[in-house]
Amino acid sequence: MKFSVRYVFYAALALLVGALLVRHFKPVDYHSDLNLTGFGAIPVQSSGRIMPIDSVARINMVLMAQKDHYTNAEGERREALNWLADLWFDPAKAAEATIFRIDHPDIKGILHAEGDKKKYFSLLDIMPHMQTLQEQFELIAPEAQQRDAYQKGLAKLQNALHIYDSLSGQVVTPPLMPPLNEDFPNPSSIYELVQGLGRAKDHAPADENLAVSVQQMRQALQIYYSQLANQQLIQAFPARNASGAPVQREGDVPSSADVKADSWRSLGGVMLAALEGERLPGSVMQWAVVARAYKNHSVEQFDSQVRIINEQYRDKLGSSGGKVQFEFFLNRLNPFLFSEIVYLLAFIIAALSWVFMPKTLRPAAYILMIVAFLMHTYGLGARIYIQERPPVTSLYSSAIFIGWFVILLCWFIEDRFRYGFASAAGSAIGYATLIIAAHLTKQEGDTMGPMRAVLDSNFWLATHVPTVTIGYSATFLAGFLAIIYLVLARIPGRLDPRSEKALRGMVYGVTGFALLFSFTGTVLGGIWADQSWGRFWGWDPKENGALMIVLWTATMLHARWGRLVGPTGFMQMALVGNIITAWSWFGTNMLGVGLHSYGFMDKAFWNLMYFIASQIILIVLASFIRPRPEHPVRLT
Amino acid sequence: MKSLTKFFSSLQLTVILLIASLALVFFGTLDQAQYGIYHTQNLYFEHVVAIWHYPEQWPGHEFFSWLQLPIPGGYLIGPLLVINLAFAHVRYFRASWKKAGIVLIHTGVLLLLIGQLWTQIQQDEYALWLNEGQQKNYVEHFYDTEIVVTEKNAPQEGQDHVVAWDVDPLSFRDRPVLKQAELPFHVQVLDYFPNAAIQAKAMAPEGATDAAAFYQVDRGIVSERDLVVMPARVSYQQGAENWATAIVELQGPGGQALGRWVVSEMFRQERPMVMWFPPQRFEYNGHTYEIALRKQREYLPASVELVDFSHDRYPGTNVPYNFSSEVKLHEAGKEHPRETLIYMNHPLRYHGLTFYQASFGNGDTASMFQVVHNPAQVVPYISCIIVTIGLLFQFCLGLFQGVTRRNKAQPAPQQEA
Repeated sequence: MKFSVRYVFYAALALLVGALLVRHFKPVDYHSDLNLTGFGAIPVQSSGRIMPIDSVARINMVLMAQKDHYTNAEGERREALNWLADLWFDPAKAAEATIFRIDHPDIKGILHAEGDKKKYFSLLDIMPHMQTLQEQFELIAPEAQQRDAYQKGLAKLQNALHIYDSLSGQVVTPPLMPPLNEDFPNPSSIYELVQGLGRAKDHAPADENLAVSVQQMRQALQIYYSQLANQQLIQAFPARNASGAPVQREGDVPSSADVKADSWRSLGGVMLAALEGERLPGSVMQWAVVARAYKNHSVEQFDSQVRIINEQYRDKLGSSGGKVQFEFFLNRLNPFLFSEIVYLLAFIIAALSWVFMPKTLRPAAYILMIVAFLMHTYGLGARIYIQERPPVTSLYSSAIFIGWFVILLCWFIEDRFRYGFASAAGSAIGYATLIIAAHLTKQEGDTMGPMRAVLDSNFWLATHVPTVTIGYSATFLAGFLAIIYLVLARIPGRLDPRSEKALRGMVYGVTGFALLFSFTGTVLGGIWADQSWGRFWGWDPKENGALMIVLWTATMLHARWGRLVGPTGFMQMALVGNIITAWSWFGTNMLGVGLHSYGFMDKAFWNLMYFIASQIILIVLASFIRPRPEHPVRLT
Repeated sequence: MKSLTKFFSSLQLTVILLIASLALVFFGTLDQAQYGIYHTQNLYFEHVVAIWHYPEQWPGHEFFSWLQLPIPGGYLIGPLLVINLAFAHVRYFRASWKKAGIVLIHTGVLLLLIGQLWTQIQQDEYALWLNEGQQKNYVEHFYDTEIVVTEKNAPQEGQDHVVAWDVDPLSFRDRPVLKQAELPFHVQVLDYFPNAAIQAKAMAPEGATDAAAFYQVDRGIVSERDLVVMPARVSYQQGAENWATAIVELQGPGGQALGRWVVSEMFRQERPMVMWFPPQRFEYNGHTYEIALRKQREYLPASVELVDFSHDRYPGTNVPYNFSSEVKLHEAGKEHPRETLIYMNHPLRYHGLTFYQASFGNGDTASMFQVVHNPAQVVPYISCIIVTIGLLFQFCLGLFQGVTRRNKAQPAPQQEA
């Protein structure tokens, strides 16, 4: 009987995970006959790297709406890419998309939506109140730490509006004078005008009045396109062709994926050059065709033109073009979301295994953790491949990596001690770190952005950063294993002497591992600092945070060697390790913006405080609630 | 005596000291939000005892303003840790392979602590600002200042005779008379302010304290341009500048007053951006002199010339991928200057000094180098290697022992509810 229950359970789990996998691998449904998938795959240059248009859409929508999709008027889900296509080819429709997230009641008040429950607003909702908003924007304190919640909300909205503005009209020139020219230009209108003005640059018309008009028109266009060039968020057009000469050929595309080679240019830049007599690249016309096909909904024309553009890039960019395609696929796959869900499942099952059916549940939790870990590894590897950087380059990627390494350790531990402790602690941390990472995306925007000059050293990024981060992983793992220990020791019959001993050994071993990596990582950081700033140690908050982890793990080990603490005390110390590591990871960054006045309003700050408070409560409870007397081992 | 040895070599002391250093680092980091890194370093890490106050900016300050914590400082914990380590080794040392890692780790840590102390005593940091095309043969201290009198009658530019006195805020309270045999006059310090705001009288807030009026300053820029000198609190905010300012009276050999000047860092001539104030010059006995208060200088055996500064950003962003300075080093007695490129993670090392690309200004045409002199530079490298070997050894030993022990034991039983 039991046998069959077990296999039914395993089959159900396998089905569940299988269904989840299918959901993640399935192509995105854009609810359109047009080939938006092909459109989303086209490479452009944005925020200092080459990425698919789909990434541009997602990154910027996350910054504006705090999520990468929105709900249309009919209440259906639409993707970021739907919105970007509308923004470029059908701006009136894009203005109806509710993509501005506004939480503060006073800002809603400006939009006359005080009592409204809705959190998302469209450009059309905002436009009528632009005057009032502009006046409020003027009052925003220049320094971020001096802003209150209202001003922070305003600054966020201002930034979102700026992004909206900067993305508009970046592949086809918007109608210049809306009343006269409502539709998108056909290739024979504005572009020909600009090209013509460029060619005739040195030949003023004989008629004096005409010459003056031409000159005025030229100046007006120059001003307009300079503005467009200044607000560029993306560069989609070639600056020069491979030989360095100005672009001549129809349909020419940028020659290099190396952003430092400066071979990409924005639409504004291309138009300015055309006014100076340079020939417009053919891709400008191609985009105009795409825009008209989209607006007129001519499926065949849209699809064929998008295919042509994609093929040109494939020829020119070679392997970098392949990378762009891969990133597009990765956006859709969203491996970290998959892992996040499976880790949660694994944790629930591992926790249940101490209540009933350990023989059935423990292997299931272990296997699930490994499944999630494999996808986690795939995502991490994919980022390394796309970025050509070691795994940790930002706070976001540190969250991904901390979780990943914890699971690696747990796999190793669980493989040797099949008690379910490591599966539970590992999947809990995996889940938590991926949630943290998902939240960080909303602040960082592009999580694979280029590295600032001082960090632009793959050697140190590959040595110091991962070593310190592994130290974080290990202290968190020790802390979470300690939580399991403290809880189980207080439930009668849940921690037999053998597993108690094994668990103690794990926490001790992982703490030693943490000291090894934290120390080495911290000293490597000192050496990097010595190499680039001329001092080994500068008492900078982040350095101090790492030092605190070293000091604390050393304290734990010495306290144990000196028999100054018993098992419970040692576990409580491991919980303090959680606090110190969380402080070192996030607290020191908040100190950077200053622990001044309104810094306390930050959500992240309160989350950190809740975490610290939870650990303190656990430590205190562990002191007051004694381990159950059935327990044969002296615990204090 | 025996109990004393026991105390100093005990693990309890080690744990207490480690926890104390944790508290020191934590509160020392917290206070950086208020006082900045440099000042906190003096208050906490380079001090015997520090006092932490409940910060004004924190919520509930009105209820907790009484809250103060004494924190043992770096100069208390450091030496005690060294003593503790040394005593413990003498007491417990046994030649054994199993302990080899521990010995290595502690030797390395000891070396690191001593190296850090040596660094703190010996390390000097300077700044060097250069505009493109400019040449300098000295670097400046970051914080320490000096009062200088320059005799401007030298036949050649740059060969003026310079007399300098280091500014010492403590002894300057006693209004010292600064003398130098080569000068025909003395300089008496009437007052000294670590920071002061100097502006036009018309712009000054009503009722502001004007130190220049109080001391009846009658010479130099302040009296010529009708400026007011308002002593200000020292700011520790990041990027904030403090203008050290002194009010001095020049006195003839017999002590007769020759006039009163205000000298201030605000009238600086060195860094880019501020160029509004000419040097303060005066005539005495047919000679021309200049008086100023400026950052202390350290002269180099060569002069450094900035040829070109570059600042490249990723296209379409403000994220820089390169800061670099093309520099020529003109050494005395050498015909051809040494040319070199200083950029991120690639400093110039010369004459025991290391020049790092640190900042820039003036629309990317001026470059600032941080110049460091640190004789203890190699110590952390050595101790890092020693400790890491020790840690690795010990960790692998523990892992090996753990695995063999486990293999001997029976497999873990699993219970079924």
